[in-house]
Amino acid sequence: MTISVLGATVPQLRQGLLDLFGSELGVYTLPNGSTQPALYVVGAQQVPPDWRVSGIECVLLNPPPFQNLGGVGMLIANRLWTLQFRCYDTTDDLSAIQLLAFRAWPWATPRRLPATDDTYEQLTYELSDPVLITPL
Amino acid sequence: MPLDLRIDDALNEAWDDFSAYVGRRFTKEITDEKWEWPREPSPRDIVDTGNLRRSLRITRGLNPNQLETYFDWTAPYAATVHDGAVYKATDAEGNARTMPARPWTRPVLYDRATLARYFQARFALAMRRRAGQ
Repeated sequence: MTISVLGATVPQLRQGLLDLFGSELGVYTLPNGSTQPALYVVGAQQVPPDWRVSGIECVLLNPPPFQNLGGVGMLIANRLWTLQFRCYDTTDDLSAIQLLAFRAWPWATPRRLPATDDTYEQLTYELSDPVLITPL
Repeated sequence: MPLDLRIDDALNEAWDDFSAYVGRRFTKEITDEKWEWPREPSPRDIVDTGNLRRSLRITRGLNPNQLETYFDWTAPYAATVHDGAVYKATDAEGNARTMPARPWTRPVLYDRATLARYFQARFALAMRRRAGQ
């Protein structure tokens, strides 16, 4: 995964995702009328319910805990990130997102939920992010 | 039997045992009453008809030289349950209605230490069975 580094801050993660997908993302309209790209890093709280979303939304779920993958004389810390795209525009779809994601993470297989009469189209990526670190 | 073939054989046997174990762990997550739900009873399991739980198909990868297993839930709504969804119809106040995600694979995938210990134990057992062959 290319969007994170060990200890990356939320603004760094946001910027990495914006660099990759920003051109395709929709917007959040906040209660005061201002807008911002529809990208949210879920941490202490979910996307505020009074933010209106249009177009394609990208949500990075809670920064996951480190797992130690083991190794001799080293620690391989891994995090399994979950990234979810949802298309709220019924005249658009997530094919452009899928292509961009494929170029960034060719090994990743997304779970796709096609648009139905009831629900919006959705793509979920689980991205393994192993980092080699030295033990204390 | 030459040692390298015994190792291959033991690895494959251990991997098949391991794959079945991981499948059981996934199923346990589905049947555990641990998933938050917006209505009572909550927390609850992810079993309504049992169709999702029964729909797990475990298949080895096509390349016999690779230890690779696929876990597929063939119930058509499996991804919706796992990843959650947003309904197009809103509630009376115009707010989005959502189906909460219940990602039953994640606790198992996060439990790498237990998975690794299980595989090591099965591999050691499979090798002991082949000792002296």
